[in-house]
Amino acid sequence: STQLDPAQPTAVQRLAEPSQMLKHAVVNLINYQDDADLATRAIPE
Amino acid sequence: MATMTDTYGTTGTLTLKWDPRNLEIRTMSVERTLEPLVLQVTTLVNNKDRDAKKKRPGKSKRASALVATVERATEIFIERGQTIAYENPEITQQMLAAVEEVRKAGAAMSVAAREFSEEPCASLARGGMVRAARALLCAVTRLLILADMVDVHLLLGKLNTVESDLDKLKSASSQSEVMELARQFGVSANELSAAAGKRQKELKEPRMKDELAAARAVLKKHSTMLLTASKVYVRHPELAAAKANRDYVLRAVCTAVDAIAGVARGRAAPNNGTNRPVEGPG
Repeated sequence: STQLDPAQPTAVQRLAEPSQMLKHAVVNLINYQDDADLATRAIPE
Repeated sequence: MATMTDTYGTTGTLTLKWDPRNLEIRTMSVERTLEPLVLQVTTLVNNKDRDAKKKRPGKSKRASALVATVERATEIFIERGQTIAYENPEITQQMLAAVEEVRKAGAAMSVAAREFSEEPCASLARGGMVRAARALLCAVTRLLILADMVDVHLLLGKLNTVESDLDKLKSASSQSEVMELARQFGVSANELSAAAGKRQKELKEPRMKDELAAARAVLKKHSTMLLTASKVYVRHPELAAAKANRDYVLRAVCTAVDAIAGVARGRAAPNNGTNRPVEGPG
C-alpha cells in the first residue's frame, strides 16, 4: 500500500509539535522587547 | 548557525559528529521548526524591520507569563525527547546527552529570560537572553537532527529486512517455499514502502522525493510480478525465458530498494537513467 499511517508518526514528527511550542514561546518573549521599547518611548520625560 | 555532519548506520550504533558551522537540514519538519526561530533571533540581533515586529503576537502578555511558557515548552520538548531516546536503544545515550544539553540551555534561557523580564529595557539583559536563545536553538537543533537519524535508521532496518527476504526468495526451490517467502517479502516491502512514504513527505529536495516516489511505485508494481515470475521459474527452471523474466523483476525490485537506501543516506541516484528499470520482460 502507498497509504501513510498517521497513527505512527516519525521521531521528528513527534518532536515537531513541542518544537513549535518552544519556538512560539521564545518568539513571544523576544517580542516583549518591542512592548518595552514602545513604553519607554511613549512615557514623557 | 550550528554545524554538524552525521552518519547513518544501517546496523549497530549511530554516530553523530556535531559541527555547528556546517548544518545541513534535510527534512521539512526540522526546517519548519527551526527557520522562523533562526530568523527571529537574527532579527533581534540586527534590530531592524520594526514595522514588521510590531505586528507580531505577545504584546499584551506579562513577561513573567511569557517566561513560564518558555519553561513549560522546554519541559515538554525534553519529555518527548527522552521518550524517543528510550525507545531506540542504539542511540539512547546520544539522545539523552542531547536532551541534557537542551535541559542546560533551557535552564540558562530561563535565568536570562527572568533577568530580561525584570529589566526589559536593559540592553545587557537583552543581550544575555539573545545568547541564551541561540544556545537553546542549537541544542534543540541537535536533538531534532538526532531524531531524524533515528527515523533514517529505522527505515534502513526495514530495508535490510526486504533485502534479506529477496535473497531468500531468489534461492527458493519449491512452490510452497516461493509462496511463503513471497508472503514474507510482501509484508516487509509494505512496511518499507510506508516508511519510505513518510520520508518522501518530509524531504526538502524535490529530486530525492521523486526518487523515493518512483522506487515505491516500482516496489508496489513488481511485488506481485515477482511472485508470478518466481513461481514460473521454480516450475520450469529449464526455460531460459522464465529465468530471464524472474531475474528482470528481481533486478527491478533490487534497484528500487537501492534507490530508497541511497535517498535515506542522503545520496540521490545519478541522473543518467541507470537507476530506472529498463523496458524488458515482465
